[in-house]
Amino acid sequence: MSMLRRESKYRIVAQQVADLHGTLMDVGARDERLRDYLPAGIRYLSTDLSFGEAARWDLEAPIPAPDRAYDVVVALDVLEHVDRIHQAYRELLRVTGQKLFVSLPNMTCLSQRIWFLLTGRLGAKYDLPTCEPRDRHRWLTGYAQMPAFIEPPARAAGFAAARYDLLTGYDRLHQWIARLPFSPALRAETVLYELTRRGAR
Amino acid sequence: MRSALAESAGTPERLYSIRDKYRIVAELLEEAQGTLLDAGARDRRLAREIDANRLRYASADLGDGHDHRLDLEGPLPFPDRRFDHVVALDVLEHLEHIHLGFRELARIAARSLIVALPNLATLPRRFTFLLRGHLRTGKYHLAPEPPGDRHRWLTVYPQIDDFVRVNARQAGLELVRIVEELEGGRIGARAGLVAARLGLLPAGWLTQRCIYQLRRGA
Repeated sequence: MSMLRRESKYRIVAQQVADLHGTLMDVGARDERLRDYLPAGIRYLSTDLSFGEAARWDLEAPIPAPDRAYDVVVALDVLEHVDRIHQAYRELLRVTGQKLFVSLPNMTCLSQRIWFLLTGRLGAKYDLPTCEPRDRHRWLTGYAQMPAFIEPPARAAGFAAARYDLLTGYDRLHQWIARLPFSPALRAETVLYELTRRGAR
Repeated sequence: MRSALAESAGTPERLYSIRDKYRIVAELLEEAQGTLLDAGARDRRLAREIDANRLRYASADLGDGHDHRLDLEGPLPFPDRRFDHVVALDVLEHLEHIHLGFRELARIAARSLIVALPNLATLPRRFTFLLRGHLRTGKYHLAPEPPGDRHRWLTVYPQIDDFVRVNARQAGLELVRIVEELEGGRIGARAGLVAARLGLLPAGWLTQRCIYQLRRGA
């Protein structure tokens, strides 16, 4: 199931957990922007490499939490930073009690393709700097490859998948392209997966 | 190979070639003597191009069938300047710790280091990415299962020049020569070679790989 949406990933996550109660772990939370969107019934926790209220998780290693430790787990634009992306994704599924939200940037949307044609770069997150970068994208996350990466492990772990193709984007070229009648593969800047454990609400 | 750019003091010579990387490296090493380590040697293809009377070839890679089993993600188990010449062809872009990998290769090279890095932003690749959403290689695919091997960096021109130049300087090596291996098939690459020598080819458009020859100072 796929839906084309214009809202931000934060708003969609908030909408989808509006009726839930319990704990939400925001993985790779950065500035904890998601917190401002959430309903009162959710207890917000965050983790990141450099800061975080609940924990400092390094997603390159097993997550130090038991199975289904959190009702909701959210990892927005995080997995593409992790070298061991397959292990990290399975770990997120493992510690999720009800819902897992995972978003990945669509690096093969039309604006990225045009940008690469004109500049030979895919943005600063893919640059090879002269010294070690603090952070970077370690995977080129293409629209066509996401279903095969996300959905089979989710099914095997007992989750049902819903996908949101998000048109929102900061780049002006992207905003212009998102209004044109192209396929979602070319218009979506981000793909957000909502994975719900079977039997959960 | 002939220089297409004017050479000046302190500026590396820049050459263009339509030969494959092994032939190019053999030419760069045609007067070299001593020991040679081929890091990330795969099928030891380079050994076939090297004069065994001048250079004692040794291969190194992760798997079996090599003179040394080597994991380039960490410190190398060799003393400083262990080999006269070290070669790493299309290897560094596979490493998570690419900067450390370069430093370690430089550390164990007594006389010279030759490094090749692919340019994923040639004009044909840019058009393929525009039209088909991939880079004409599976090395960047997000596969359903962990791939055995992949490119961990998107190496593009001219960032690869800057990466090598700066890290070579920090490692005490001098960048003496850059060979740009051109793509485009027999006709396209030859046309590109003529254009490059005339200074008419925009930088990096047909350069599928840069081969850097670095030399240790006196």
